[in-house]
Amino acid sequence: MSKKTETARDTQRLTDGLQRGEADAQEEFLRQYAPHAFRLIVQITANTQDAEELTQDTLLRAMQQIQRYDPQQASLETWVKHIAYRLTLNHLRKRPAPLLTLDSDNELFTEAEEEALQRAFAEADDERTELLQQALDDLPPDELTLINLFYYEDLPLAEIAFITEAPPGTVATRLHRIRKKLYHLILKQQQQ
Amino acid sequence: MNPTANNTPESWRQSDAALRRALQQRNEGLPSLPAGFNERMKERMAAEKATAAGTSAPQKRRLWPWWSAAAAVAAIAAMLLWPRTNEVENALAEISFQQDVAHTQHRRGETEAASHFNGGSPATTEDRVPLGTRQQNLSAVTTAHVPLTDSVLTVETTAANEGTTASNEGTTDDNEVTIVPSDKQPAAVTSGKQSHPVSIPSQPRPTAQPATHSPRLLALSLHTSNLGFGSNGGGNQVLANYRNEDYLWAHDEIGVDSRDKNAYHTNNYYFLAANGFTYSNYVSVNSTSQNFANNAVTIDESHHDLPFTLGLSVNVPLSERWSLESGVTFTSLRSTFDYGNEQSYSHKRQRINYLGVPLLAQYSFISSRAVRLYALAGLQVDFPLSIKQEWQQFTNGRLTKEETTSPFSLVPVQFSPIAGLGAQLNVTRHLSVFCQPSVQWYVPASDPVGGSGLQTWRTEHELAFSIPFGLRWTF
Repeated sequence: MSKKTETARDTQRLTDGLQRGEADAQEEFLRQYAPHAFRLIVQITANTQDAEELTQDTLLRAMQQIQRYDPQQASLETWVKHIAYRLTLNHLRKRPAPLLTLDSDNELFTEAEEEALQRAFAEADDERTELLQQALDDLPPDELTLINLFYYEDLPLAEIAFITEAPPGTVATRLHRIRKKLYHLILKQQQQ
Repeated sequence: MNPTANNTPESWRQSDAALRRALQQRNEGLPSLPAGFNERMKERMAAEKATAAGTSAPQKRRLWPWWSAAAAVAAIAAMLLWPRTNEVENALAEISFQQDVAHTQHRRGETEAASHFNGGSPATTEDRVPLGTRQQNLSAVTTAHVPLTDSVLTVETTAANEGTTASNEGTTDDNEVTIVPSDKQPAAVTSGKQSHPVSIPSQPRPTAQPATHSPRLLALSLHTSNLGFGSNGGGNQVLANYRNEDYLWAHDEIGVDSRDKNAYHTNNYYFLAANGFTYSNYVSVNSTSQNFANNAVTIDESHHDLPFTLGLSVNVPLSERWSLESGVTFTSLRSTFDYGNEQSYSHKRQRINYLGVPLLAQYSFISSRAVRLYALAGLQVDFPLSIKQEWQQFTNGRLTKEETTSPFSLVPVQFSPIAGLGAQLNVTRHLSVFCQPSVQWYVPASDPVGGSGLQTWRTEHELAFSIPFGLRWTF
């Protein structure tokens, strides 16, 4: 039996148990998926207390809605992240969004040369990394999540599309735009 | 963006080492899942379970919409196929028939009474004979004594076949229409009182029919919510929501003239309230400190068209005043969304079609030949038929990407209790126009996939007032 088949069977057993409300299945679900959900949420909120509450909301929602999970569409982990993503963004919409310090003149969004972008992001020295970290702090939550899912979680575009409810092509376009934005942010910081 | 071999998302993943490192360092500083999380989670689960005690388990909740739908379909089928051979049906037919006879008698009685009046003969009451005794012979002689001042007509009938007696409302002081079988005519005539028998022609008596009846009322209704508005379109709740979200809300503007947040906020609120309008455009400013100087604006707009509904309904009387209405409705919900900022944003057009099955009880409190006024209450279940989302990506005003998606699994079944009043104006014997001002509560669906509930006019206006109107054809 392949590992993939075994995983699918385990997932099926787990979701069946959750549907029946079995305590063992719930415990196993929490053990496996709470860290994933928390990690994604805390990356967006950067607040432990909010992240824990939202993680609880996410897992509760997932267990309540487990009958809607379709293994053909996404893995259980991706599905849980999708719930976490939506709940977190909904939560953040109820609060003032972080201050965006970008100028939005036309220069910011003119076509930057891809080569320049690649050079800028390829040089992983300390100074560039620090500049990028500051730039990341200025991104709105949805863009920060997208960048995290793509570069940090290393998820395929299809999974990111599922989590963020956008077509894969749109995800790619948004990633491209965020890279440009980061590029101009670090240029601006360097000028200062 | 023109992806090439060196310019694809996967190539970025490989080449953007600095970005990966920055993210890694940033995330390394973030806390991990706090200790004791599972225990706190279990406590919360127990608390939620206690709160939700009495509610159905998740698996059952999955099934109950379909049971409801099945019940609605069964109700419609029962209405269409319900045989009318039962006692109530026969009694109703009998009453209807007798009323027709009585009307004829009444008309003739007036003639008789007029002649009495002219001749100075007083009107008297005649013996009443149950109609059940003359089932085979309805060419009865009628003795009618109806003075010109008479206002109420009384007919006492006996449903012959079942022996059920029914009587219509009201009696006159001393004036009644009495239907006398022909074999008892002499007794009636020779009662010693001055009476003037009037012969009426034979009429075929209605008999109980086998199960071939169609519904008594078939109403084809074209109704829309265009005359209505949602409660969230005006009211304190709106203002509260806006303030809670701490966004700047403006109508069709992008913050340029909106330096005074509170003023604009309030204006917009009253605009919505005054017009009962459903335009929920807003512009969110990423700062409570009103950082307009650097024009840091994010567009987050949504617009929901008023729903359009077309329906076909069947109304079946259960008694003189009560009736049950059901049918099917088609509803189309259209919305547009804009995300992003002035330079680069996504425009999404969304259309969701629903097939609705209402089940309404109606109570007629006024029912005359010309007008019927009634109250109605019930439930409507809307099943999703289709969803289409068209995405367009714009950069610097230029269309750079187009895609179409259809996330059908995200569309929930919609339940909505309805209550209202209705007025029906009969234009002809069969054709009437009706209008049903109603309040409908679109029960918020538990989000189909986590928090990813779709936004529609209904999610933005959970409590909606509408004025369905249309034509009704009565068989």
